[in-house]
Amino acid sequence: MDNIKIRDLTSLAKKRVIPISVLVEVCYKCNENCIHCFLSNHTKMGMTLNQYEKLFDQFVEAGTFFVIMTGGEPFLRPDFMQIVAAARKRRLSVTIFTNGTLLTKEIIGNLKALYVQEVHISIYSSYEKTHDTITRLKGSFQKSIWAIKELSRNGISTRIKCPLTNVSVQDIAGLKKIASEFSVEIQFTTVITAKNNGDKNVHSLRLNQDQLRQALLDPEVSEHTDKPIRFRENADYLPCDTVLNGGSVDPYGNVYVCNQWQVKGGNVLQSSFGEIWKNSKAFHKMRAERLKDLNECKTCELFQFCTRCPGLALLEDGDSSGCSSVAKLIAKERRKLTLYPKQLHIFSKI
Amino acid sequence: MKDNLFLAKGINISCSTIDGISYIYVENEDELLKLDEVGSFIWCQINGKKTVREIVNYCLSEYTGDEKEIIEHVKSFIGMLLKEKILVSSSHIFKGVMQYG
Repeated sequence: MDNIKIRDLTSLAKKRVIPISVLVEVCYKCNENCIHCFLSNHTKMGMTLNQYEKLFDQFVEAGTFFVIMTGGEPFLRPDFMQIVAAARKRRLSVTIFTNGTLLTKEIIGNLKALYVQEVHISIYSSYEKTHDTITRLKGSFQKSIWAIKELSRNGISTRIKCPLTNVSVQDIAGLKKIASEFSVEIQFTTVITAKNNGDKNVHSLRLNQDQLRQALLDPEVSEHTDKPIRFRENADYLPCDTVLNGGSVDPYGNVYVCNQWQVKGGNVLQSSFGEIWKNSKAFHKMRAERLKDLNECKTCELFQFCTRCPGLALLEDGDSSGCSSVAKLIAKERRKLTLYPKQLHIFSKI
Repeated sequence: MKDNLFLAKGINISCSTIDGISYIYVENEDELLKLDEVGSFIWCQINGKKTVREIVNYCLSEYTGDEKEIIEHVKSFIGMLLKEKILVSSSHIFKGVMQYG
């Protein structure tokens, strides 16, 4: 019996193309209606409990370790705790993304009893009025804050998640204060993506140039390194290693390498998850691509400042192998500040 | 250790098995336990419905060698996992989230 680091398991999964960490969207329905939400459809309720039980059996067979459950708002499902229990019965590690508004003492007690790994709660501002304006649900701030407090009090690892909009970006200090008050981690993102149907109206909420600069300069918002990644040294690497060890299942049962990269590999209501992960032609094509195949990146002076997502490049710019306009925007700002991004998941050699 | 005890994986752990090797995460630990091939075989037998005796018998049917040594090795391994609370035992069959497979 040996001890190994979690990153060693992740590396092994990349080498063996094992979907070690899979995101499962159990529904698109949500009780909030956030102004920046990437979901275009909030009606779909997801597969049945029985179908999730079968899916989790397939995860076990495929070698999956981590399951992230999200929505929409997953706790809207009356059977959500049964879905969580089904995953834990198989000893899959479970992390839940939620707005926290539907959590009760009883639910939190059950999450604790099941040893759920982590719960991520979305908070958009430390000002109640601003947060509720963003969620378009009055009272949501108080409920979400209560959930963070109660989860933390019960010893459940909790994290605040905050996508920064031009409405909330001035409030970073306040958000950090909330995290500190409850002794929880906080994670910011600086990109508001288009909706998953390609609708770009939400781009009006993106940070302007000054706001982006402010966010990039804050080490608690954006991580950077002093070692630039150079194209030539990494030409044989994959543009994104989620194609090796990730995975995502939407409420319809469609399988993707990532919920941001909207190319279906198959559907679990027709084929097994493991079968799709290994044999999907679409996924094989993604795994065959290397940085040297990205013609625009090859000659781009912004390369070492860029954290390009192939999924976003496809969604917003029409080509997963082409330039991502939002990545370019941020890279330009990084170049002005001479900030090299930490490319934690982007490049990988098989 | 009584042979008629039922064994289950602790609810405080998460695990997966890749290429016949099992990896176990225990709550609040920073690292994973990586079992060897024999340990992984034993681990995969534990489902809340089998007793110590049944698991020992599975191992005897799977591996050749001195029977007494095999029994001692299996029980020693199970005992270590029980001590670390990675496994739990009961005189009754486990139910609900404690039983799988």
